[in-house]
Amino acid sequence: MPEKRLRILVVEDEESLLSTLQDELEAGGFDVDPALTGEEALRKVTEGPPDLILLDILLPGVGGLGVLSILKREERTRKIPVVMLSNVGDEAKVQEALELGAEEYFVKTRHELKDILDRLHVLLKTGRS
Amino acid sequence: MTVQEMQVPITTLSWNIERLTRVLGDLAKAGEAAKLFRRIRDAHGRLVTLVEDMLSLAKLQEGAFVVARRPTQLSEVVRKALRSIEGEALRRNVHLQRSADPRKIPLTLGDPERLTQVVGNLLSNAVKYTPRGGTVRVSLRQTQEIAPPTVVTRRRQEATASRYVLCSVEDTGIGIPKDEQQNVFQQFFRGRKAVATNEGGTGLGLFLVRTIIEQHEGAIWFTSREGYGTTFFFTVPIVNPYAGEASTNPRR
Repeated sequence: MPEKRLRILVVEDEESLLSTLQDELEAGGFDVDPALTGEEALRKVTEGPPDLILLDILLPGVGGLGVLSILKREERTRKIPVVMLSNVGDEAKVQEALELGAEEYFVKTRHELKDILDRLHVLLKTGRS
Repeated sequence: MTVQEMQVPITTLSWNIERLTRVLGDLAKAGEAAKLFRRIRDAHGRLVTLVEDMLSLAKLQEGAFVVARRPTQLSEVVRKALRSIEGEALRRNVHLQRSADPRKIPLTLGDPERLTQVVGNLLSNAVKYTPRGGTVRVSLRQTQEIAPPTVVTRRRQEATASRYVLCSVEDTGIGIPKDEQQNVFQQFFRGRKAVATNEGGTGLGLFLVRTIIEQHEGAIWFTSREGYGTTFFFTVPIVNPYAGEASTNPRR
């Protein structure tokens, strides 16, 4: 268990999913910084890089893939691990996200929260997976 | 409204049902509330499958159904699929077995999501059509050929991989009648027994399964004997077939 709680930026425009994710991540020992749009996410990353970003693909405005490509282009943010959240039917976008440098993707309806949490613990090497 | 929009409330339900399951703890001990909750969870599970099938079909129809392939461990896929079917198998008193040494199964080039859908679908069918006390067994092994010579696969001519992982799902179920066997992978096909036993289904499951495997440049087939059981097989190419052996094992 690390001394400092790791901070995860969760970018999800659906309130019901965002609050569910937030509850679960906080119960799992993470600090959560929520963002409802891509623009808000980019602003928050500039203010202070999180330890990991959980990023929805379908977002109003700049969109998940747009955010991802900006993050991976910038030297300062390139190393932040990004895990994509997608919907069924987004496979082409998922492929694009992996090529852009996303660590992992989860299709929301097909994954239990526990799968997602376990994976985050592995990526962040918290020793709690 | 589009089918896609159904995904948000469904996912919210999925994740909160999962959290509630954990909050309630051991459902077997929680009495009436647990029974009602299990019904909600089962109905929700069926709804998830139906919506996913509908979305996949819509994607197929617009020619936008693709798989996102990357190095994938099939034994991990099998583990996940087994976990998703455990509850139903237990309720139906069907034994689940797996025979695979994960260390010996090479990585395949696959979409882990879609392959979990494939194995999950085959397992779900196997459990559904196996009488109480029966067994469903999943096996993995490495093989040279995309499919045995007797199997007709449109992929054989264009097969480029020289190594595959073969997955089989074997049941001791009711079997598929001979006159229905050629239709099993057809879109919207449902067997007489499936209809008669009132098992839920869209007739899309195996059609989608075949589509997914073909997009993986693999093959799918089955053997079945009425009254004895059915075994479904599929192959998926492994990552980096040993380049050095290509000369001693020329591609056909």
